[in-house]
Amino acid sequence: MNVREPVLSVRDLVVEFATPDGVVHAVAGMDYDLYPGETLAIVGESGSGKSVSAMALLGLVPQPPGRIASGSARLRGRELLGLRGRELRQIRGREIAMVFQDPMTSLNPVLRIGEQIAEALAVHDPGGSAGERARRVVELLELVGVPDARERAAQYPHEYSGGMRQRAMIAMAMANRPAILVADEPTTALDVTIQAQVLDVLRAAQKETEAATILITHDLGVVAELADRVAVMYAGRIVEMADAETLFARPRHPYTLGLLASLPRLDRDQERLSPIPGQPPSLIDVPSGCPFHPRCRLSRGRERCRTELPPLYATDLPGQQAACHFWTEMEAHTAAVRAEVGAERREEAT
Amino acid sequence: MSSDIRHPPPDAPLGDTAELEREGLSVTPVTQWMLFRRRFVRHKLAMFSLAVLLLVVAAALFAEQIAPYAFDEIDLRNRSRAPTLDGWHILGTDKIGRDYFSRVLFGARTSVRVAFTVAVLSTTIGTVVGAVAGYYRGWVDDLLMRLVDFILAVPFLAVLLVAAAYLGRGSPMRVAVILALLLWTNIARVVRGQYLSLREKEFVEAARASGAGDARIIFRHMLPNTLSPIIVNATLVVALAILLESTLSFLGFGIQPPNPALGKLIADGQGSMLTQWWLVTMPGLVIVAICLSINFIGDGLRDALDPTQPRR
Repeated sequence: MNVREPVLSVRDLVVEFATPDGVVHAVAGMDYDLYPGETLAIVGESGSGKSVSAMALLGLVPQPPGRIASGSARLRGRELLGLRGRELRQIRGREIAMVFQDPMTSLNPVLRIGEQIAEALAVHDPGGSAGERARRVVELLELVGVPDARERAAQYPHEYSGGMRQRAMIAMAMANRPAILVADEPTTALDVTIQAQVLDVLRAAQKETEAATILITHDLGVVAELADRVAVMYAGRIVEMADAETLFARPRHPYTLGLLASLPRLDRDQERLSPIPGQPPSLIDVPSGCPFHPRCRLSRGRERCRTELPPLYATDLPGQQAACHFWTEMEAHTAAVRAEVGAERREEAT
Repeated sequence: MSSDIRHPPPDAPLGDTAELEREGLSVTPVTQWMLFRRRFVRHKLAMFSLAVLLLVVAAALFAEQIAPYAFDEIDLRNRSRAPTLDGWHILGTDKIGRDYFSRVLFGARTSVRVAFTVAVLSTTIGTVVGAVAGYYRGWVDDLLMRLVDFILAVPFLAVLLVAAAYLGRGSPMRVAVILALLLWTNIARVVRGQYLSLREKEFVEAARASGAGDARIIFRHMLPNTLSPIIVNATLVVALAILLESTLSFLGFGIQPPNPALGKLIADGQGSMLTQWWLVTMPGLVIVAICLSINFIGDGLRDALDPTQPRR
């Protein structure tokens, strides 16, 4: 599908945290490519390593206790991991910009919105004129749909609503026309009514800057809305990677299927959700073999699942990879689970 | 608000102000600054104190224009006079006939200058040290805080006297520097505490993610969040500095003649305190007026800057 050069190539990324209870393997070997202009969603439960993997790109993993144990991340061929000081700061905000989860706390309460965006500009253009920056600030706020941008640039964050703040955050992130936009749960802290608007803004921002986007989320609705490709993470590893449509229609990893099946549906009557049984694994003591096997319905206690860590297999579908030894059984399994969930739902309806 | 009513998109926050205005309701956004000002203005004691302080400070700064005599003008015919309107010696004269009102004015000028210099210097040192310690933590923090502990642990007055005796003889500015070097510790501790909590805030991480360097984060992003405790502390340092400078001068280690300073005036007058009450009382009253009003202003600022106070 993509013949272009990837803008970002991540290989074998391993991030660990030393804690009193042992070493937490937050990211345990992650590979992916990000192509210009595309939106890659990284999906997973809390603690699956999705945020940490993005923080590592920007050198934002606190060290210690964190440690980037191995791996490489190349931005147009340039190694990012291990950059320090000035070189690192030139990447942050300029090449890779970040939209944080909670716009309530990620804006500085005592600086005017306009000042904060101007700051983001000034960091990478210290010689620029203040007047030029002020013009650009208004332009950016207009771009993300803040009404009366000129007046509102002079307001403080507490005078903004949550959705407006997230717009301001997006304006700040796109200020320097970054090559990559990392959106870390950009809608999680917002009302559902505002979420859709913010997603629209994110899409517009991406179009404007032509940035490739890494969208970190646990919300499959957001994924369906925005993502071109999806990487599903479990226990610090990518367990499935595919384009969004393929992933939703024909998942090739039982965990992905579990996520999809657990979604509440409004088009059918349903009283109970269908959760994935069990708990997410401890990242200190990851299960042997396939980390998902204790919760997996497809595994059925097979020896190979318990002993052998599955690599990412290329599946029968173009561009899809899945880390399941028995991905070939997924087609049938998917049909069975869907029939079952449907039947259960019909039962409850009656 | 502007007269041309624009139509914000339906998702405009805080309701639709334009709509409210069309219905004849005025909508004025209330900013933090306005709330602060309102609270401070309503703090009667603080406002009264501010008026007193401004009066004293203005009188002190314009001493040359206001004083009827030069502070060292000797008039041997009018020695040791009680306050009188005769010759406008409204605070009397001292034992060699110098006009006491003029001397108190110039004394207040010296004291006020020293106090504000001390406040600016010690606040700057304390803020930078506290910010650096709180932001970097680790060994930098340990080192700086042990320095603070050390300064706080040594007997204050003894060090002050020794330092003043060897380094500060005479010049008001030297006295100011010595005081500042001893008074920054409190502010450093307060600022450090603030920075320790601020550095964990998400907006600091956001600033870092946008490529801001340490200095920019410390001073541009975090410092404005620490301003209220710094301001409150700085006002209290002014009062403390006036008292300490007076103490030093009283003990003879501070500002040297012919420069008049409030503490020195009291020291000179104490011998004849029972017969010439004004020599001690008048400069003493000025010291009390300055210190009390500054403390009350500090209280008012603290109350007004505290957002948890009810919106009165």
